[in-house]
Amino acid sequence: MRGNRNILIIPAILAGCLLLVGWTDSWEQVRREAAHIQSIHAQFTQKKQMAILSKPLLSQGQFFFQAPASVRWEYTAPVKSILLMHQGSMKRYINAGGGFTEEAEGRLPAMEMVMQEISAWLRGQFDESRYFTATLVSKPFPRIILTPKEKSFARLIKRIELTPSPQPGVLKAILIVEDEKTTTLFEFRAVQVNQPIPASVFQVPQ
Amino acid sequence: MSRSEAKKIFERPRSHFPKVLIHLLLKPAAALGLIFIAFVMTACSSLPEIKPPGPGLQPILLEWCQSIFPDAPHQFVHAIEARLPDDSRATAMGIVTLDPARGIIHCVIMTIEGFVLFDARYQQAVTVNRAVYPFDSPEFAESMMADIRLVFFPPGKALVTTGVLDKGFPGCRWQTADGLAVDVLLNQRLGWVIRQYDTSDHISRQVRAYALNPEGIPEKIELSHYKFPSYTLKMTLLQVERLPQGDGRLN
Repeated sequence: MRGNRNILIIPAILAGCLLLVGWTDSWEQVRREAAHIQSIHAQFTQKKQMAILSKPLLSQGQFFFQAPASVRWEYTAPVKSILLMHQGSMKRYINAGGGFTEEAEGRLPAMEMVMQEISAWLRGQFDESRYFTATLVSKPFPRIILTPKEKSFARLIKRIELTPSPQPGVLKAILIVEDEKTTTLFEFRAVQVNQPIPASVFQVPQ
Repeated sequence: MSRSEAKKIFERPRSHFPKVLIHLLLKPAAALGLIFIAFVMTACSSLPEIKPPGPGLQPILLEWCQSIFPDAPHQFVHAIEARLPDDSRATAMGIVTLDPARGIIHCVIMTIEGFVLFDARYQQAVTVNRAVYPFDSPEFAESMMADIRLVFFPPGKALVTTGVLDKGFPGCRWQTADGLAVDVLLNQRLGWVIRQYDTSDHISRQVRAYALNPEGIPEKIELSHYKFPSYTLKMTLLQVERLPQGDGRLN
């Protein structure tokens, strides 16, 4: 797998993971819960930890999902950025101070692969992912552990851990482990499920 | 003569500016920085003459030129907007940890989502810890470290001269170990420009630093690489930390 595909799959993973709200202890239940989800809106905080950093690098943003396959992954600080997946296209927009501009499309050649993965996740089919082996873990606390199948990918990401909130239907955190000293933790709050989302959310940002 | 008095001498008189620029001088410092930079950019595209400074000013100018570079271990985190040869843009985050005394650089580039694309260390030679396509070529690593050295380290030990360039900006000229000329051009309030010239004395790289924070650290840096493949990196400072000597992260 080439690196640019690896780059792309990160936001796709994040989008897909949020669709796992309501999962419990079996893949069948995950699929049943996923079938009921029409929309999600959540705020998130991203904490990047590396050995080189004395304190985590913090980012904030919000996430929208609308069935069947529209996603907006938006950073509000420190860099304003929006990743839009909508109607089969995937684009990133950056606001460097003069409004949003589209980022280089050269980084998006693996869109088909990403969309296939998302499509599977939308159906709760994490255990059928082409790129990850998914394991449901109950101890010491409930998690889904995603482990890359391809060696080239595993060199870049060791595993991804999904932690549900005690509140039913809400995902608490996603931890991406690149190595034991390099992690990215996404913590979610104010998660709203099946609330109406304006169509403009998935259109080109102004 | 004190250093601040010397700097005032080199502050370009307003009366020399066109009226439109006098008007713009009333705008925020960032706008002033851009004007300064625009002046310097248009000054000359090849190695310009440096006129000798006044008596006794050479050591003051040298001290001033050297003061733009960190004199202790630091860590900088920047948002980076890259403008590529086809005029497309890409954005990333950059972490640079450096120890000027030991010539050590540790550089990490990651996506906004936090995925590490490039992680390398430099101490006389480049050691790449991790590099993801398209950042996985040795040429990229060497060029990245050369960019970082140009921004954060004094150009070399061989100072050629200090003085005033044809547009009236004070500065210093060094010669690198590779025999290349590097100019540092200064403005007390607005920032500085670093130019590296190739063997034909044409500008090959240029750093423009402006929007200085209260500590004198530029919140905006633009690095342009004029040789193929040409690119421009616009860096916005997100956080900076002075590190203690011997910090374990630099070992």
